[in-house]
This record gives sequence, structure tokens and C-alpha cells, in this order.
Amino acid sequence: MAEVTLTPRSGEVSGASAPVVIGGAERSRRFATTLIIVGGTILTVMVLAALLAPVIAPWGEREVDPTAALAPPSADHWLGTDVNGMDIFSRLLYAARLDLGIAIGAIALAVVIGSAVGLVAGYYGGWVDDVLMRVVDIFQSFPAFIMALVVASLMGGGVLDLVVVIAVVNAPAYARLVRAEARSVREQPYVAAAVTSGVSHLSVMWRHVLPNCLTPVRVIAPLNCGWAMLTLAGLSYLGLGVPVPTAEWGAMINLGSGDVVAGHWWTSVPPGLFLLASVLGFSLLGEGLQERAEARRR
Amino acid sequence: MRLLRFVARRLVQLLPVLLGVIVLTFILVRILPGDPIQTILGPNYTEEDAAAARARYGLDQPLWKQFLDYLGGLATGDLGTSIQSGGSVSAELAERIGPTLELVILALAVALLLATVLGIWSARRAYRLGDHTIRVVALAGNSLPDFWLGLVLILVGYSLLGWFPAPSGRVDPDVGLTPITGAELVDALLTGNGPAIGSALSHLALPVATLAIVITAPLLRSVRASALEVLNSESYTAAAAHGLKERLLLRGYLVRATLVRLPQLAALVFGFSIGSTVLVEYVYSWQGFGQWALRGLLYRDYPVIQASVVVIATCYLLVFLIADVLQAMLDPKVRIDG
Amino acid sequence: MAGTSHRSPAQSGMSRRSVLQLGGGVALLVALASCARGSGSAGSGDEVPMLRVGVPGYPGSWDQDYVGFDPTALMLFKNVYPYMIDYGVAEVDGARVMDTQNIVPTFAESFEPDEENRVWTLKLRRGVRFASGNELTAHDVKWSKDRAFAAQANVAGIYRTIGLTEPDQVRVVDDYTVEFHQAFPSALTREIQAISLYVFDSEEAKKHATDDDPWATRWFANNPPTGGYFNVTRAVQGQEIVLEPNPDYPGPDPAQVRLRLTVVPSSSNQRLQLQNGDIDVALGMSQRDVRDLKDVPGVKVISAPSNEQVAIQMSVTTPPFDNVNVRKALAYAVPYDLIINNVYGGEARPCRSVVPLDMPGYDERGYPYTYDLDAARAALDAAGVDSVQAELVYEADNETQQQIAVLVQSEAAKVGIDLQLTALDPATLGERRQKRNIPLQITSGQLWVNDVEYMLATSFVQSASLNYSSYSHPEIEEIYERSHTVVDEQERMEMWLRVQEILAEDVPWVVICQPNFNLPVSERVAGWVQPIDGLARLRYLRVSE
Repeated sequence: MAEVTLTPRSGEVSGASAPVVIGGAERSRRFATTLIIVGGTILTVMVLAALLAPVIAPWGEREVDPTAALAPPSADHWLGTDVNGMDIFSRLLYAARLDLGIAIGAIALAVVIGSAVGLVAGYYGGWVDDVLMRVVDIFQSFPAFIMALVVASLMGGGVLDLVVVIAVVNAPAYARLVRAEARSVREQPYVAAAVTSGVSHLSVMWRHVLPNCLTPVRVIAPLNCGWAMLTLAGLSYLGLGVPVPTAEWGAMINLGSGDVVAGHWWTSVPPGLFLLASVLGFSLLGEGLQERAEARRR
Repeated sequence: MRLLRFVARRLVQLLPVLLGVIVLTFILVRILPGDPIQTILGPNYTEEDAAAARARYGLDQPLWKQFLDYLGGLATGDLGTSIQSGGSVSAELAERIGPTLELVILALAVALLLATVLGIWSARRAYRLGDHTIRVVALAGNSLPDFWLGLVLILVGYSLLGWFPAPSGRVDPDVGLTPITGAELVDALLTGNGPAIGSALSHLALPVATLAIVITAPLLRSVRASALEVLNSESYTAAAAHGLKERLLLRGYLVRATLVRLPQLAALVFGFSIGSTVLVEYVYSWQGFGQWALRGLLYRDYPVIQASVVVIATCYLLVFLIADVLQAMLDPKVRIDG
Repeated sequence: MAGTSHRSPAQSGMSRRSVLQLGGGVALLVALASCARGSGSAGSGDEVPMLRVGVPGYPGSWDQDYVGFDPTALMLFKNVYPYMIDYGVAEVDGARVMDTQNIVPTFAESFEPDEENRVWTLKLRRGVRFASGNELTAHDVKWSKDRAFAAQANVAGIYRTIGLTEPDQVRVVDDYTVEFHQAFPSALTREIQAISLYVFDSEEAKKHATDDDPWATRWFANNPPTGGYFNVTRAVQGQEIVLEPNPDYPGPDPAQVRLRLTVVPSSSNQRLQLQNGDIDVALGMSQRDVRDLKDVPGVKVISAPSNEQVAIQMSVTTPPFDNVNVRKALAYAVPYDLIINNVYGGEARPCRSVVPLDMPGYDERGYPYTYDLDAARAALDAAGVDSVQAELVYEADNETQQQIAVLVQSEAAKVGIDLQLTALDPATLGERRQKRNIPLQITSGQLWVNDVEYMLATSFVQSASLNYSSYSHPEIEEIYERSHTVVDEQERMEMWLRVQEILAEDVPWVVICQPNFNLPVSERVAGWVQPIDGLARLRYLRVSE
């Protein structure tokens, strides 16, 4: 299997000193900043919504209004209610907690697992590398939704399972990324010097190799958080996500998807837009970070 | 020669991975709670009935024996008998994989084409409004949940505008298409059935669009980045300064240089798509591989789950192999600054 | 002995009606046969109108003896397998429904018991043929039932309730006569056989049998059976199935339309296609999609009361529901009217007994519980507990059950019953049901036989397969045993009343309601007959232009 990474490899940009576009670097930096600001703002708003949900939300997360099932937006229910009579707007806010939490938690876990595996594989090389990378291959080629069901069944179903599932699905990419970096760092003279001077492997890895490997990880992780949210929503859409009636955007879209054809747009369009906005927030942030990293390299 | 050795080495590396996937799947499906036999007996069964059904599918054997039987079957291309349908898994698989491959390959082709054209266009206008717009739009497309996008497209394209056929089936039954591969468009082309080609294309339009919109962004960003590097490279500037014709520049240098990194990324995207089309398939009533695998999963149809995991994994691994080979072939020739 | 006597008036009515129907049928049969002959080649079916039917899934298999519980497949089987006897049709409040009291011979000439009600004789019509041209004979019946016993699945299980357990009990008398020698007489034989007496083309099957596979299971898994009300003329795996009326069907009410069944898994897609005129009948639409379709032009909703009952089965052996007062508390905490209004849009009937409405013997004393949170709290107090935690299980992918679960959870929480909702896929649900380890589960179903004896046999005696509550009561066991041989209508009704009194006191089930059957169709569809078992008999469909 190839050593595929999603970042452009730094070594390939060789002595590009004369940009075709005059002032390209400057504009690139400006564009990157704009992306980061816009993405960051979206995410800040979402995080605030999540944190302040109990304060802002007029209804509870699971509170049923028996008199208003599938009610259109009104003063009582700002974005209407779903088929169970639960307030859409309030649930959107509560869902932000879960969606952001699961996505960030899962990617953090993926980074930890992936980095550890990639670091060891890249640092030691040889058969350790071969074995670990084959294991990574196995996990990467395993279909996500089958993995999801297996993990959910083994762990008993719940929010934590979803963190693990999404982490397992995303970890291989980080393992590859970190391994590639670790291999090139390993060749550096100062690493060899540290090893010969009697510093333990663990401490060399921790002090010298890891920090250098994490640069591309930092850039890629926000992008992945967005995908993690989409994976979560997809699992919910297949009924493999959070248990009903927990508020989660994918589950809300799933519950409301049937209403659109009857003209009840408010049950599935708002969660779709919230999901889109959050993923886009992560994507913009990630794109901005990448752009800035590349601009710096130039 | 170098290439052959390379391919051989990669193939050897593939085998343990495949074996790992096979073992892992075999164990995992059996760890899953749920009994496949329960779902095929009526409510009034006795223990003997259940035992008989278990024996029919070899589930009464010790695990190692089941595994060896399964491996033996795999070696001869026999994927077993579906517990739900009683039919041959290989035959069912053959019918289901065509439509899904057709969908994924077409979507990938569309996405690649879009990414190449827009990516190069974008790179040549780097950091101007057009470039920024394209990149943000692609990102937005990439941020859409595919099933939600599918619902919206159906609502607009079929229900409101009526431009596209109903989201059921893959070809109008009245065109009299003879199935050969199961991929309707290919069959229509093979049999030269004009109306069927049109019908298959119109059925494909929305699902392919859905998938393509979602997967274009990463490809586009890769093309744009490569193109930008080439444009900024000394050799390109030199070539441009020597007054090479615009078209030759574009074709000879830019496009080829840009595509170097694409195969691997395309492979990644392909792998991702084939494992996740189930959502798009569900939305468009596209009776493909994903739906079949999902049903197998829900009913714990062990042979079906095993077969679908092995097929997805094999596709994934093979596509990567092909991508590696392509890259190895492309790379030395096109290094413009090499 | 065992009584069919309480059913005999209906039977005589049946034979009169079936004669009339037969008359009409023969005329049509001739017309059909001639048109089929005249057309010959493709594109000819224009004279037989076509209806397009949306179904939620493609049948998992064509083999009825081995298939799992797959509603689409079971429905199709009712239309493509030749059933020797089948339900008749009755008119109820202007709606046409299948009549469980009236079972008529279709492919058979007659199916009658001896005086003792133990040995039943099936007489076949002559000249009935499968698509292969083979004649349907007693040997086909014998082969098919031998196969069912060998399969040790569906029919073999159902036959046990009427004392048929071994192939030897099915005997060929001559080419057109088969006898079924039951171990004991049963009042349920006719109903059980109505759902079990389907026949394979054994001549054709033997061509595909091998030493490994003597019953040709591989072949039948992939090849549709022939000789039913319809023949399958086209089947594209996963996509569509075309049914043509079988011109050789000799009985009453032959099919008169061609049907194209298209697989459309998503309910909202079915709705869209119905609205746009791309399908005529939507067989897989969820309750809530049906609800506001009534006002859509070009679409009508066929609605009929149904005997489907929705309930929550409480495990009487699992704490805390082993305490009858906790069960009562939940029964008082369920918002019955709210569910009927919000989940079913008013299209359901409140049910005041575990015996379904319309089943002979139904009595309102059977379930005296209504939505009353104070009573629920009082019951919890009586049980001596402040709060209860439990898992409420429903079927994954079942939107209706999910909604009910959410509403019940919300109300029960108000009295201190904290429910955790769990959606289970079919395999896990099956396994956990078999282990009887689900404390609370939503069930919905229709009894295939409209009789309390059958209800007890399937749901309330200790060994009953649908008794997920693990409920048992000595008196009910005794009444059930006695009922096999009780013939007198009055006496049976008294027994059923006693059963309901016991169940009212023990509350093993929360009886939620009986939803109406709603079928959205395009305006050109006519002739629908409401199936008693939820499995549509498509042969009654007509086109009104």
C-alpha cells in the first residue's frame, strides 16, 4: 500500500522563487487569514450555541409538546417541532454539543492512536514498520459502517462508541502521515546523535521526533473534524448513531427527511444547514491553515 | 523490469493484509450479537429445527473448521450460501457490484474531470476572485452530507422540475435492456440499445452528481496545488519565457505534471466512495452493493457480510496498487524540474 | 369432537358466494386466455392494463419453505404460489376485507374433514397446470409438504399446532386426492391450511435437485415459483418484478391486471412517486407519509379497520416488571389518545382488551387501563417503589414504533419510570427474544387466525412463541387445553371472557391501539381487498378508467 498523505509533500517544492502571480504570497496569506477568521467565527458561534444551550433554548432537549407535533415555526417554537412534538430550535442547540464533542473527541483520539502507531513504525522501521503498517492497511480497508456496528455492539451502544468508531476510521491516515514524517526526521543527524549519546528511544521519540511530526497533523486535523461530523451524521442516518431521542443533527435529518416531501421543510432543512455550516467551518479553518503553512514554506 | 519487481513486491505485501481482513471479519461477525438462524425460522420452531438450520449452513461446526471451509471456498471462488436467500453469494454479489461500480466510477470520472479543469483554471488565476470562489464552493460541496444533498436534488430535480426520472430503478424497464454486466449503462452500450443508453444516463445523473459534488474538493485542491507548483517552477517559467505556445505549455507541461499526484488521491477517494455509497444508494433506491451489504449486516447473514468486506477491502487495495503503479510510471517522465 | 360447527353457517354462505364468483371467474378466464393466446409476442400485454406498485424491498428469496421473516417476500408468495385454499371476501362497512370465517377452495376443488375433524381430504381440480406445462397433482402436494417437513422451518412449525409433524401423515390417495391425518382434531385446521397449503412444481424441481440438495433449494432461491394467481414474467434482482395474471388459474376472482412491482425502499420516495403518478400503489409507506396524502389530488387513501394490534409486552419475570403494580403503573402512564392522534393521525382505534377488536369474544373488560398519571403514581406506591428504570426495545427502522417509544418515554418519566430506548436490528431482536431477556418491547402484529384459541396458542400460554412476556397462568393454560375440544359457541365465549378477566388483572401487555390499515393509491386503482394478515392479495386489484 502506498504512503498516501493528504498534505502536499514539502520536499517537492524546489526553489520556486519566482511566482507567476505578482504578490501571490501576500494575497495567499491574506486569503488564508480570511478563511481562518470565517471558519473560526462559525465554529465559535457553534461552540457558544452548544455551551449556552440550556440558557438559550426555550424547550428541553427531549421535551415533548403534546399539542404541537410537526407544528410550523411560530412564536412558541421558533423553528417548529418535529413529528414527536419536540422543539427543533432547542434540539439544534443541544445537538451542537454532541456533534462538536464527538467530532473533536474522535479526531483527538484518532490523532493519539495514529501518531503513536506512526511514530513507532517510522522510528524503528524494519519489521516493526512492516507489521504495524499492514495492520493499519487492514483497518483502513475495513468498511466504516461495518466497523461502526461491530464497535457499537461490543461496547453496548452510546456516545462513547461513536467516538471510538470514528477514531478507528480516521486513525490510519494519521498513522501514515506521522510515519512518513518520523522516517524523514529519523534520518536527521541530531536524532542519530541523541541516540548514540545514550538517550533512551522513548525520550528521543517524545522530545525530538514527535514535535516535528505533528506539524502536518495540526493542519489536517480541523479538516478531519468536519469529515468526522459527516461520518457521524451518516451513521445516524442509517440508524447506527446515537440512541433516540438524543438530539444529533444527522439523527434529526433522518427523522425529518420524510417530512420534506409533504412540505414540512423545518424538520430536516435546519439541521442540514447547521451540519453544513459546522463542517464548512472546520473545512475553512483547515484550508486556511494549510494555505498558511504552504505560504510560509514558500 | 523495475516496474515489474515493484508490482510483485506490492502484491506480496497485499496478501497478509487481505488475510488479516478475512480473519478479522470472520471473527467480528461472529462476535456480533444476533443470531442469523433466528431470522430464517418461523416463530414456531423447536430446538431441533434451529439445529437443523444451523447444520444446513455449517454453523454447527467448530469455529476453526468453519474458517477452513470458508478459506477453502474463497480459494475456489465460492463465497458460500446466503443464509437469508439460500442463493449463492457469488451470484448475488455479481449482480450487485456492477451498479455500484458504475455509480462510483462515473462519479469519480466526473469529479476528476471537474477537478482537473477547474484546478488548473484556478491555479492560473491564483489568489484572484475566481480562484477563491471555486475553492470555497468546492469546500462547501465537500461539507454537504451526501444523503441530505441527495434528498434535496430529488426534490428539486424530480419533484419540482421534473427533469429527471423517478428515483427508482436504474433504467426504464420499457427499453428492453438485456442485462449482461449488471451495470446498465455498460450493458446499453454493449448491446447498442439507444433508448436504454439515454434512460440509463438520465437515471444516473442525480446520484452521480450527488457523489461527485461531495468528492470533488480534495481532488481539486490537489490539482490546484500541483499546478501552482509547476507554474512557479523555474523550468516552467523558462519554457514560458522561451515563447513556447500556450497550448503546448498547457498540455505538455502543466496538465501532465499536475496529474502526477492524482492517482493516489483518486484511489483514496475511490476507496472512500465504495465503502460509503450505501447512503446515496438508499436515497436513490439504487439497488447496489451497499444496500445488499447493509441488509446482510442487519440480518447477520455471515457469508454476505464476509463477502462484502472482502470485496471492499480488495477493491481498496487493488486500486491503491494500480495508483502506485501509475504514479511510478508517470513520475520520472514528467518531473519538469527534475 | 373439535368444532368447526361454530363456523359452519359461514361455510355454507361461502359456498354460495364462491359459486357466484366462480361463474364470473370462468367468463373472465376465457377472455384472458384468448388474449394471452392472441398476443403471443412481447409488447402485446396492452390489452391487460398495468398497475405499478412500489414495494419497500426485493424478496430475500423465492423459496417459501426456507425464507426468513421478510414481509415483501411473504406478500409476493401469497400471489405467486398456488394456494389450494384461501380466504374469501366479505363486505364490512363498505370496505372489502378478507374473511377468515370463510375459507374457499381456489386451486383445489374441495378441502373437507371427516366426521371426527381429524382426517382432512384435499381434492384437486383436473387440468390445472404450472407454467412448465406440468399438471398440478396430488404428487406435487405430497412432495411440497414433504419438503416443508424436511425444511424444519416455517410450515413445519405452524403444522405442529394442528398435529401434523411427519411426512407420513400426508397421504396420496390418487392423482387428485390427498389426505392429511392429524394426530388430533383441531378447530384451526382450515385457517392453518389456508396459509400453508402452497404447492411447488415437483416435476420441474426434481430436474434441479442434486444429491447435495435433494429439495432444489438453490434453484428455488433464485427462480420464482409458477402456478399461482400470477406468473412472474420478469424479475430483476433488487429492482423490479413483473406479474402477469395466470390464465390457468381455475378458481374464483382471477387477476385481471398486470403488475410491475418496483423496489423503492424509502417511504418518502414512494410518496413522491405516487404524487407524480409514477406508481399506482404504495405498499411500503409509513403512517406519517400516508397521513396528509388524503388531500393530494390524484391520490386516494384506501382505509379500513384492521386487526393489527400494537402493544408493549412487559416481561413478567424480569424485575421490576415481575411486580404487577409496576406493570399497572406503566399501563396508566401510556398516553393512549396522544399516540392515536400524533402517531397515527387519528387513524387508529383504542383497544380495550388484548383480544383484538373484531375478534369473536372481544370484551371491554379485558383492559381497563387509561392514561391517568395519578393512578400510575398510586400503582407505583402500591408496588413500594419510587422510581423505576428499564429498557424499552423497538424495531430499528420502524418509525412508528420509534415515535410511540418517544411518547411513552416522555410520559412515563413524569411518574418516575425512566425508560431507555433501544432500537434493535432483526437479528439481535430475534436472539434477545429467544433468550427472553427484553424487559419491555413494542410489538405490532396481526394474528393469522382470527380466534382466541389461536391467540392463546401464539401469545399467552407458557410455550407460546410470541409470548415475549414469559407470561403464564394456570387457569389460562387449563382453558387453552380445554378449548381444543369445545365446540359450543356460547361456552367458548364464556371461556374467552374468563381469559380476559385474568389478563386484565395481570396486565402482561400494555395494549396501545389498533391502527387502521391505510393504503395510498392513485385514483385509477380499484378493487382492493383488505388482507387479514397484512399480506396483500394483489389479484383483486382492478383499473378504473
